[in-house]
Amino acid sequence: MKAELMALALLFAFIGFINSYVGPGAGDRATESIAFLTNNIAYPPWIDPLWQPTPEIQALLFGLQAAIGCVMLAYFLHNRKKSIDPEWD
Amino acid sequence: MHIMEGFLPHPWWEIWFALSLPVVVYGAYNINRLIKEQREALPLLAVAGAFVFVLSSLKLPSVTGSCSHPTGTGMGAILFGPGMTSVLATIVLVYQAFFLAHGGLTTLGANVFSMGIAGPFVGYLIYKASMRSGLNLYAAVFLAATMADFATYIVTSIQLALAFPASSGGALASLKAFAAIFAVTQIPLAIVEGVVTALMFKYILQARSDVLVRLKVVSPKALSDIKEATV
Repeated sequence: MKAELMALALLFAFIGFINSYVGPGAGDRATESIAFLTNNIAYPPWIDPLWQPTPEIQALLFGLQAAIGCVMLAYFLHNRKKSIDPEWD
Repeated sequence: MHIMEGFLPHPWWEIWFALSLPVVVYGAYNINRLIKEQREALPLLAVAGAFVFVLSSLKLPSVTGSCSHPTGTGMGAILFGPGMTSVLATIVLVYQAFFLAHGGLTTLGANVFSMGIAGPFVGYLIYKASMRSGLNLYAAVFLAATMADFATYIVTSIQLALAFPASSGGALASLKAFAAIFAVTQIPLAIVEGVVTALMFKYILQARSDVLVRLKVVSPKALSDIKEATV
């Protein structure tokens, strides 16, 4: 269990790190395209997000999202060992 | 990437909401039925949801210099069909819209349609067609997950092209521009998603092949063929 928690923590940190350092998102490039294609008529957006996290907080929350999913997957994979069909071994 | 908050003007954001809502309601109804009638399949539903949670959090750099993320919806589509997968995708998209300002509440309908309905629907059809044609099970899963991911971003390009037709060339010119951004960025990520999904599917098959047969994901004959090939 300790090893699983350690792996989750490492994954959490890794995803946060990766999300902080990747280049511009495809969405950012789409924004530029919209402005270009419509001669700036259709832009900027008509409403702002309710809350705009800083890039660091955003990376952290992406990591949290991954961690929630990983905990569920790890739980299933852990139980899988108990229920595995003997015919496969 | 999802369409950001406020990107889609009136009437497009309302149209995508109207198209997505019935499918999500139908999916929720089916989940409710699954809970009552096939409780043994619930861990797999949780796995399909967790898969969407993990994969859609992975922002990865791609060949075009921009980054994007896989969707993870192919697994849900194969196991439970596009209806229930739309509910799983909606949960993830609401989380991302509220807490990450990734996607948006006004564009939720459009994002649910592309990631939760259109992509999984394509994946589901490809999986069923591949199984009928006698393709190897894992190849079918790979193909379905890859195409579910890729189709998601093709539909996103179409949604943006319809909302923002180019001053010269109209919606078709816009579609080319958006597809060049979204679809090309997505090709390597879609392939990675296909491989990861096939690997995960192998684990699920080994652990709960009985449930997969009951859900009609795998036929008993296909299952015995795979078991014979592995022994």
